[in-house]
Amino acid sequence: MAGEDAWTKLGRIDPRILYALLIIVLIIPIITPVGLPIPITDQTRKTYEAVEKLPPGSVVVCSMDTSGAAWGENGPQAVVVLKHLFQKPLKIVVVGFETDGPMLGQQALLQIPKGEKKYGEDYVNLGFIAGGETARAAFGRDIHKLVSRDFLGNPIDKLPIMEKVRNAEDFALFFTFTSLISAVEMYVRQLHAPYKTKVVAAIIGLGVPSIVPYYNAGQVFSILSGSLGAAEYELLTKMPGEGVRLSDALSLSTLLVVACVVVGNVAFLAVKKKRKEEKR
Amino acid sequence: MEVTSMSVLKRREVAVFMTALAGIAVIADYFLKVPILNTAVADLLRWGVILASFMLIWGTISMIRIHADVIRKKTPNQWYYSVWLVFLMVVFVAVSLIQGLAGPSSRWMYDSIYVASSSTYYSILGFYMISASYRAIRARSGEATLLLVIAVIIMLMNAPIGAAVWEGIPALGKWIVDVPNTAASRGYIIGLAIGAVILGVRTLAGRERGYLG
Repeated sequence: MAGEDAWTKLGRIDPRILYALLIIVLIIPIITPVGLPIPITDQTRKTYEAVEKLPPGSVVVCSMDTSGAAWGENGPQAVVVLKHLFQKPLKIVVVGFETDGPMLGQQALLQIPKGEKKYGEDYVNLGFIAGGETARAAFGRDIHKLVSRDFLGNPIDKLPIMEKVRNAEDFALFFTFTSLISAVEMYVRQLHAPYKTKVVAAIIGLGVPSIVPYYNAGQVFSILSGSLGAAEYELLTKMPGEGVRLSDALSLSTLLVVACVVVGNVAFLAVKKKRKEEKR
Repeated sequence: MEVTSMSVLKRREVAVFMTALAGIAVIADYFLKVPILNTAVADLLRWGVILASFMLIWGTISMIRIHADVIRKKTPNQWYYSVWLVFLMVVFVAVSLIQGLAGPSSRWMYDSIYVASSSTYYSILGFYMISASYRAIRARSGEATLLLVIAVIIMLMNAPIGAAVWEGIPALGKWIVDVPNTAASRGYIIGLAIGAVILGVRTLAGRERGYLG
């Protein structure tokens, strides 16, 4: 009887205890990294190898279709991908079709070492373009007709990099850092379908299952899955950063959630059994 | 009754005709390489972007009007939030106009206020999740148990610790995402696409007029 009471109590645990446990499992691995192994998925490896194999001078577009809320997952992805791109003899175009995008893109650009790359010659931030899917379609068709000035206010016709970048046929690879499944779908429709652009969906973990059908159909070139995808990319590029730092916290918090599901269900089934016995 | 040129322009048929014309042109442009059509559609897309930019301005004005009304009426438990919102909006716009979006003050405000608070707001979901995982994800029936087991496998697959718990987790999780998930997703993606085509055809034919308001 005393044991059964304990199950009932366990089933009605004070949520503040769970919140405290969550805070602990998030903070401890950030202070003292556990160093759990991070397996590299095929999709992350495919993205990394695609960047490695790009011929010098290729144009890579990084579209920041994210928001401050999702920056915790998209930020590490954007930073490590940009770091990798800046190490290569590539031309990098940053743009945003969601209002927060260009500010966050600029934040990522400020965080990374530029090497010998010069703004306007090797990389550019085109800023925010309003219009959702229409804007994406227009961007793929003719950038110069759509954008007159970059994020810093420079006329894009005077930027040497933009002489080479006119439309989607010039993009060797197109990254979208996003929390929106719809953003990836728009690129599939407006860039991949008409121009066969290779679209890499760097999306938050929650969105991955919805993008997998497009990946399996070859419409999305590859996927970077949330902060774990960032961690994998950091390991491939041998530049451990925020993604790797967060992966232990992700592991332990996942384990806590699974433990809660198990304990909650054990308590639920025990109480259910007790009630059945009492009815008899 | 006299029919003036103004009343003709206001007729719904004109709006339906314009919509159909623009829609057919954009669809035709997708399949045909006709220079005059391609140029016209490129301009049409640019107009769309310009209109969307104006809509943002209009949205801002509309929001200020709504909150100004709340402040004027001193709506209980709400007006001071509206004051704060309008104040911050004015400060953000003023600083960004003076320094530009890349200026140090606008960057500081954006990174330290907006990004920090929206990340915090989003991360509160973690606390709801932990509470829900304990109280709501229950094996009440066969279907609920199946959902629970799959949820646990997918959660573990998405964390490095999954493979450490059981080395089969990544492969099993990948199979779930690649096969049953893809099959179900394709079903609704194709369903949505067919629905969108039907809606498009109805709109072009003038049978769907909900967008006219």
